[in-house]
Amino acid sequence: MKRHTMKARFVMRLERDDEAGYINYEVKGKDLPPYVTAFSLEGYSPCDKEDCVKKHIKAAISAPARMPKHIRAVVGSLYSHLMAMYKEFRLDSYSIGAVLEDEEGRALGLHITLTRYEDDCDEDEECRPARWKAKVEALYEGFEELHKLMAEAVVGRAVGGAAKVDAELLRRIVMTAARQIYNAYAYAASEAEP
Amino acid sequence: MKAAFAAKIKRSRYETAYEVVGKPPYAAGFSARGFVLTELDDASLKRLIRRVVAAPAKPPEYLIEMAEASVAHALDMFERFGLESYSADAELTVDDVYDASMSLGMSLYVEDDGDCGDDGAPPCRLVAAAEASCYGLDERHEAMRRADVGNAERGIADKAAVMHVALAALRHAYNACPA
Repeated sequence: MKRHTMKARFVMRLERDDEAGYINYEVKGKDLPPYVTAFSLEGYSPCDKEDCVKKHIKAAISAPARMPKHIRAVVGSLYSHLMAMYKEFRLDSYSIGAVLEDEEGRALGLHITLTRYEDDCDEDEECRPARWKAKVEALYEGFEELHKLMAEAVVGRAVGGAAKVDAELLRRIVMTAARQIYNAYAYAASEAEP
Repeated sequence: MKAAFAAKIKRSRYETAYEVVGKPPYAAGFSARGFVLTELDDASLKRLIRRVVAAPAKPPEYLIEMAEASVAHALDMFERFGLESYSADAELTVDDVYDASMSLGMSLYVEDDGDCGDDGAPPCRLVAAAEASCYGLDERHEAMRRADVGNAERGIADKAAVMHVALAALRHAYNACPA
């Protein structure tokens, strides 16, 4: 197992599986925005060389492209329903997810979880007040490759006068994760073109 | 014709656990399991299992509304976007039950049996599955319902059937909640 760094923001581990003909990889976020508590990307690609799998990873991490309208609509609808459920019902946790298939049978999935955490104040630990945390998991499953992304962030206080989920922050986290995994898909699709 | 169920009981020093499976054709797609961290005598355990299976009490209106909102969104997403699967999972504290929480998870998906949808093969089916649980400090009860609810190729699910699956699971679990 080799250890690489990429723009000093991510730590990447690559492992070749010669029997399967894949390179497995794991990327962990290091220098993340303050509200993001965890970020990871993992999967495998049918690559011979490490540079090839690095291109797949870069496509997912850099995420400059926009998603097509119907995929944006799916993501937007999941996010809107999650927020509506949070506002309407006194839920402790709500999660929602969907899997879309393209015409060839490749799958794109998104799963969002919003959970209320109680404070963890005790004598030995630093006291963190009750809070809302969001976890976004997105995946692209092709015929010979898999890319799974996970981002976790604190998105609001759950006690006191300002207790509420920061809807804009949550939306940004959801959209970014969805766009990143869509980019991994778009890159793989473009590579597959003759 | 009465629906039939098979129950398995497992007792240990620390807990009494049960598992109930519905027998086809009338009770197919139903199962429940749970445990209580105390010794229950036969009569009490029988009453508990009967409550889970028969689900005599109606859950509070806000739980039903929450389930309805999830089902409505799932159906909307399926019809608009032709999804392969959809899932939603809610957990909440139950107001009128002492120290208990409930969760309801529901999913709607295209059942992939290998060759459905191919030339000459039957069309793929849409399946709704719901899992509800109620848990207190020293007990946990889960109920599962599952049913074929439509034709995946036309992307249309029977709304009433999906709602029935979700509400039935909710009702079984709610009736197992500690009183």
